[in-house]
Formats: sequence, C-alpha cells, structure tokens
Amino acid sequence: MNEELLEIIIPLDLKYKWSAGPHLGAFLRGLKEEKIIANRCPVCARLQLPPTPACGRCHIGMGEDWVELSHQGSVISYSSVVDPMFDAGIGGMRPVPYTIAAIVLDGGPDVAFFHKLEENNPEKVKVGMRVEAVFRPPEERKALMEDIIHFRTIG
Amino acid sequence: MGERVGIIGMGQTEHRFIRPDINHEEMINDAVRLALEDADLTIKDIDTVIIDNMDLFEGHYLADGMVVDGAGMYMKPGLKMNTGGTSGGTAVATGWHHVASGIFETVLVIGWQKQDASPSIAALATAREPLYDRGIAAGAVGIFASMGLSYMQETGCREEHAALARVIMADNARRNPYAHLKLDLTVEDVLKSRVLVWPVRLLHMSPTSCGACAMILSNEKRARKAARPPVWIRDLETVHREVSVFRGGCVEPQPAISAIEVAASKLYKRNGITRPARDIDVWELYTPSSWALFPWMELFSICDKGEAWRLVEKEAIRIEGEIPIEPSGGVVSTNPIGASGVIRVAETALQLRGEAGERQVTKKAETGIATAWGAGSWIVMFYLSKHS
Repeated sequence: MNEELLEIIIPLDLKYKWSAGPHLGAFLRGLKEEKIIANRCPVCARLQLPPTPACGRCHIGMGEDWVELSHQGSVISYSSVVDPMFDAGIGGMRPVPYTIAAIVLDGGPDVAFFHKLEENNPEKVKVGMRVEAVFRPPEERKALMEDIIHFRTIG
Repeated sequence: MGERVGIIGMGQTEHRFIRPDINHEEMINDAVRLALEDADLTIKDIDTVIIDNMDLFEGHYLADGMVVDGAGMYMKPGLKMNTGGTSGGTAVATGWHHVASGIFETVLVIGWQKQDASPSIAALATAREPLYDRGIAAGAVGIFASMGLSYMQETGCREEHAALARVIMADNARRNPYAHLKLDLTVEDVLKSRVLVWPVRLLHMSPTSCGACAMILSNEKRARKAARPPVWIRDLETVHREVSVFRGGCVEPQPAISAIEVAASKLYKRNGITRPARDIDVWELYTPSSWALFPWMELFSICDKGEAWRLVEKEAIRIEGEIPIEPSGGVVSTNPIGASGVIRVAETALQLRGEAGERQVTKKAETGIATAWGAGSWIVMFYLSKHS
C-alpha cells in the first residue's frame, strides 16, 4: 500500500446576505442619525441593547417603546488586542493594536455596549473610566456599527 | 429523576495538532472501538448513538451523514449535537436524557474535532451577529482577556498567578498519555510567551487539537452487569444566558448572577452539596484559558470571591492537593473542541474508577464535577459519583 498521505486544499469563498430585522434595524438606522437606541420591556421595564423582539427574562413581545440612550458611559471591562485577529466581516486580518471595552451607558441597561476605545494604551485604561461615543460625519454613516468610530475618554 | 445513568465504557484517541494520517470517520471509529472494548460490548449492544462536533471548524456541513459507518450508527436512531464550546457536554447530557427517560438502555456518545482541516479562528469569528459586534469582538481570547483584567483589578491576583495555573496544568498533562500539549514549563516561560489580547498570552490559550472521545452510558440494570465498575452521572444542569450578554462581549452585567452560579447552586442544592470544596473530590472544569480558572473556581463556589488565586498560589489545585482541578491537564492542554466536553466527563469518571494512572488524584476520589462552557456564557455541568 502506498504510504503517501494525501491532503487537499479546498478554497471556500462564500458571500452571505444578512437580514437586520425591525429591531436591530431600528438600532442601525438610529446610528445613522447619531442616536443609540434601545427598547424597553413592557413587563420588567428592563432596557434591551441592542433592541430585541422579546425580553429574554420575561419572554414577552417588546412592543414599540424605543428609548434613546446617552452617548456617555463607564467602562466595566476592557482588553487590548495585540495579536492580529481574523475579522469574518472583512474576510481578513484586522489592524492591531486596538482596545475593546464593555461600556455601560448612562441610564442604559446593565448589559454592556461593546465597542473600541480611542485610547490604545492599556495602562491608561481603567475599569470605571468615563467615555463618550465619537460618530463619523453624517455623510460617512452607513447604518452600521462602524458609524461610531470609537469611544473617547472624558472627564 | 427517572432511570439512574451509569458510565460503563470510555475511549479516547491521542490528541495532536495535525492528523494527516487519518480522516475524521477513521478517528471517530478508533474512539468507538476503544469504548466498546472498555465496556466489553459490541455495537449490537448499543441502542442509539449521539454524536457532536462543530461543523464549521471542519469546513463542511452534514458531518453526520459522512461518519455513520465509523460511528456505528447504521440503522440506529440518534442525534447530532452542536452547541459551540459546550457541544461535548450537550452530547453527554443528551445521552443521559435518553437513558434517564427509560426509553433507551444503552447509549453511545461520541465527540470529535479535526482542527487541522481549517483555520478554526476564522470559523469562531463568525459566531457573532454580523451587523452588531462581529467587527469588534476578539473571539474567545477577548472574552478571557476581559476576565483576566477585571480579576486582577478586583483582587490581588497578578500575571504570575495565571502563569502558575498554566504551569500546574502542563505538569498534569505530562502525566496524561492522551494529553496533546505535554509541555515542561516554568512561570517565566509563560510570562515570556507572546501577548494575544492583553493579558492573555499564547500559552494561556488552549491548542487547536484533533481527537475523538467516545463514552457508553447505560441504565442501572445494564450497568450492574458491566465489565468495569460503573461511574454514575447522578445529576446534571444546563443553563443559558440571554443574548444581550453575548452581544455585550460576554461581560456579565454588574451586579449580576452568572449562568455558572445559577447552574451550580441548583445542582448543589438538589444533591445536598453544601461545601463543594469538601464534598467534591475531583474537578474537570472546561477552562479554555488559564485566566478563566479563577472566575470558574469562584462561580462554582470552590472558594469565596477573590480567593481563587490564593488557592492556586498554595498549589492546592495540584493532583496531590486538597482540591485537584484539571488532573488531565485540562482544555488548555488538549482541545479537540467537540470532544472536549466528553473528555471532561470521561476523565472525571476515570478518576472515580481509580484508573487514571499517573494522573490519579492522591485524595480518595468518590465524587466529581465535570463541566463544559461555551458561546454566550452557556454552561453544562455534571455531578459524578462512584455510588448510585
């Protein structure tokens, strides 16, 4: 029997279409208008960010109680990405370093809003640090998460 | 609770970065043959087969259709599971439900992954909402980095402690013939390895492994006649977190109760476990990064909040220690993902049989906890005992 081991490289290049739906869609359209939009559960009054069709805890339809959130908040957790990271959104490697942070927006839900920080020096980032969203100029916005460039340090 | 469920057979392949010598059906077949041999059964004795892997990691859909013969599923009922990091735990849980329900007498559970097939990190990066957090999330590494940073800020833990936890797991892995990475490490070696996402270094993360693990579960009637002493899965619990936590970077809201805490408190309460560190003899936690060990130990109530790093510093978690954790070397040493959850249960069962060889814990092992953890902060946990 031939002992040569066969391995075959198979490229797989696929394009996907993704439907935002009315709830995440409302959030994304809000970004284009420089708004961060959540929705409120009619039973437990907890805010959902991003907006959801059903409250995970009450499992009730969320209705139309849209709430615009503050652009400012506090960092509750962060990390500094040093090693190049594959980005399934662009199909390639992401430039490094960058700092990612879980931010609780003022008056917002207790779950975090996950985004980048302008501050790329991890030594200058602290839990509890105050930050504010920086939006792209109106003409550059595409109703995508990237309409927010990052969060800058304030105060 | 239904029928009692016993583990009566186990088999795992060796685990390596690459297995160019074998395809995944052959790898599965090796594990199945070992499990049947261990249980002294043939495939005719198996009523149903539960299989699991993470399809996308091997780059193709419908793995189930391609492995029927090797898995021993021909003309048998069965299911394919895929729940991300918890897949192996979900497969064992599914097998348990099949037996506990009284419908099936003997169930074969098989988990596998052949991570040499595709760049796993690319598959993992698709696990996020494309229009929300996919462009920001830094994969599993980012989640553990957040955990590590928060943990250091909230407690006295330093990078050296996470490095020591990694060294202990490496020391354990060298005593496990099936472990993938059998590294001889010092704390300095870990601290010198390159940073992926601060403070997670390369050596803090689990490897991409190829391997399979099979397990045979049966009801009490069958287990009492088994070739090997059965180990009982006395109870299990599965808990899911809501979507917004996953989309918020898997960072738990503060103050909050985590899925792990909820699962653990329910399971402990049902089984009269009041002091887990005393009542449980051996732990195989699904710890994909050494940084996850500290929050895991605290959320499973092995110790108080903020105290896990001190137990690591005292090396109490070693094979010879008071609270042996990951005697197999854990997921940071061996991670064929679909098999990893099955391996946690199998390694715990091996400890309770007293057949874990050089990695057998020193203390008398009669009870154990095995877990699987994964996407969206989901948790599956099992309570194992030598006694039914």
